[in-house]
Amino acid sequence: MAGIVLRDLKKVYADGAEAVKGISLDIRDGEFIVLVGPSGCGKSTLLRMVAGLETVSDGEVRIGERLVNTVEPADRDIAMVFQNYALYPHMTVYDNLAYGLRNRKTPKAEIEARVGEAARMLEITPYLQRKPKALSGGQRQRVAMGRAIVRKPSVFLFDEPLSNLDARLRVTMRGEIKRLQKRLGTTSLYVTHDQLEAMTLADRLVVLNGGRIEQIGTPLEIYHEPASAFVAGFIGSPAMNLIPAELRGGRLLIGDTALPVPGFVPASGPIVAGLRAEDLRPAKPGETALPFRLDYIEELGAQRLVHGTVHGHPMVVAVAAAFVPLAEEMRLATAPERLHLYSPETGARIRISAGVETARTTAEPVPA
Amino acid sequence: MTRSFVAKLAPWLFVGPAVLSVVVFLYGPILASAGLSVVDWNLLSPQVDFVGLNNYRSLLANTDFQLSAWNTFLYCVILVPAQIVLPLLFAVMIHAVRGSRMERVYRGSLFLPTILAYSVAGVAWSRLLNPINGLFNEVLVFFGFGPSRWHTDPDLALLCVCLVTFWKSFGLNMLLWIAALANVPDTLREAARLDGAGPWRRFFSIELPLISPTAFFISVTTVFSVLDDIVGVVDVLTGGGPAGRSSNLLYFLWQQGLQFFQFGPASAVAMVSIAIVLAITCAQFWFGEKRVHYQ
Repeated sequence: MAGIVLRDLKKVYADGAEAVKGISLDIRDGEFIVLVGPSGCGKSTLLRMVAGLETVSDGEVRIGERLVNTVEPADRDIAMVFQNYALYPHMTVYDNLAYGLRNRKTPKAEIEARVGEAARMLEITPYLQRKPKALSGGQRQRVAMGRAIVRKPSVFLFDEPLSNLDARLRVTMRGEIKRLQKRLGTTSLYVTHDQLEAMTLADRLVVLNGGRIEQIGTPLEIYHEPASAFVAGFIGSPAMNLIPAELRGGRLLIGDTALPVPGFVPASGPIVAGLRAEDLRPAKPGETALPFRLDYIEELGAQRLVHGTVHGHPMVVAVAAAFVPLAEEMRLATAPERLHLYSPETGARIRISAGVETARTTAEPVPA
Repeated sequence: MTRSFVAKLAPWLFVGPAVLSVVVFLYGPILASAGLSVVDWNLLSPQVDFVGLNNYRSLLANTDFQLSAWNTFLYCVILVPAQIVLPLLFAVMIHAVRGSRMERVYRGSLFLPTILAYSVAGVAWSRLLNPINGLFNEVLVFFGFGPSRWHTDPDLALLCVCLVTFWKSFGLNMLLWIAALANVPDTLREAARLDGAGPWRRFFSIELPLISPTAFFISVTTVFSVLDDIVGVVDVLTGGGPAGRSSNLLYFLWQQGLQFFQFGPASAVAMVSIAIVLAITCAQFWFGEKRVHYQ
């Protein structure tokens, strides 16, 4: 077992394109880290640099205590699960699992034992003599996992391993990956663009954007305190409502609605206000409220997502399924401490001092 | 005409031209050769004598035929492996630089000879190999060696034909190999790298099995082309000589038929050639195809 340390890691391609622009990250031994971000954010490049499939332009990759920048992938003590599984189509499942061990001159009896154990763990024993072509997507995914675990590596690398599966299987396999990782306790680096997958799997999340880290934290830290407008808009389903506003005299003006800001904000002038869909609710009579014009409703069963506009800006509100009186025009209220504020120029989070943040950390986990 | 009649006729109309050309230009001549091989006839005289297997018997006793048959065997033994393995080697090297600017340059320049006519290749090489003032001898002499007679040397003529034929025709197989290698997903190579397989092991345990359909195709078609395509080079470069030492069955056939107008013996040669190709191809399918991994 080993941790991973990335120091100021950069990737510049021959054409000058910078895919990774100086990333530093400490991954503890046994930790499950998920790299998440939109396509082109550099998450796969970063993973491939750790794997050794991509050269490092600058900076350091350490696995355990060892600097591995120029170490061959096979000698890094890692295993990788690919998006398209990358199973050898001409080999049986058994041979697929055994291939890496044979290349390392593992004794035959041990290969048999390890393949058998992995196959039992993943419930693929009945398929060991089949070729990958004769397996379903989920079974292939298990074989790909099996190929990673038979080697007993120090680190698992996952490159969007679930994106080729249908939605239901994805949820099942997500659970299995999490359970397996807990059981084996192997340090894991997992890449996905699916923020739901990221939230559910990660011990810690790393949100990437444009080759840089936007935020590192536990899923709940990131959900409740997005460090930037980008993270706020990316993590959470539905995404946080971000709406242009103005800070004036300790109050937040959205259109002509003035909301109180609970505490001191070291700024004034234009600002971006962030409101989670579930932090908005229909206002009681007499309460300060935002005028909401209903557009359409998405039924999720347990919840309804009400889409509409506030002062012409799109806004989503999550209400309980039982909530019936939905009108074309509604008034929405929010608890002031639920407000998030971001700089309109840099997108950075503007902290509201005076104890509000500590209250936040005890908040209930919010269904994504 | 009813609708259903037209519907039944339509497929035949579509395949008709192709079937007709195959029958007229392939199966017809094969049958005609089979017929001609058992008669004594010069195609002109009204006199046609049935001679049974006499043409075959006299062929087997003919030393020119024996030499041609032996040469054909030598051509196969030298050229078939060369035409399969060396183009693969080039393809692997070109695949290794894929995406770079030089890829096109290498691929283009290596493929260039393939688009020449065999006769053009033969003429060009006979200049280079010319024993009196050819470039090859100039180079040999420059480095202090004695000049060689090259294609006019009975011991070297066959090898010279091999060299020119190879130069002229390896490009096609090379392109096929390149395409096959490009079809192997890179993630499989990467997975194998992570699995601890070095370049050799990756090639033999991952890439080669995955390009085996192409390998099989190339091995079958290369046998055809080696038996067949050589004739143009032989004709221009050596004329089958010296003393028949670079002739092969097809060149012998051509001489018998179109130079000496001995259509009976020539057709017998044709039948023997067809039988050899058929036997080799059947053997390839029998032994080779089960080792092919179709995706």
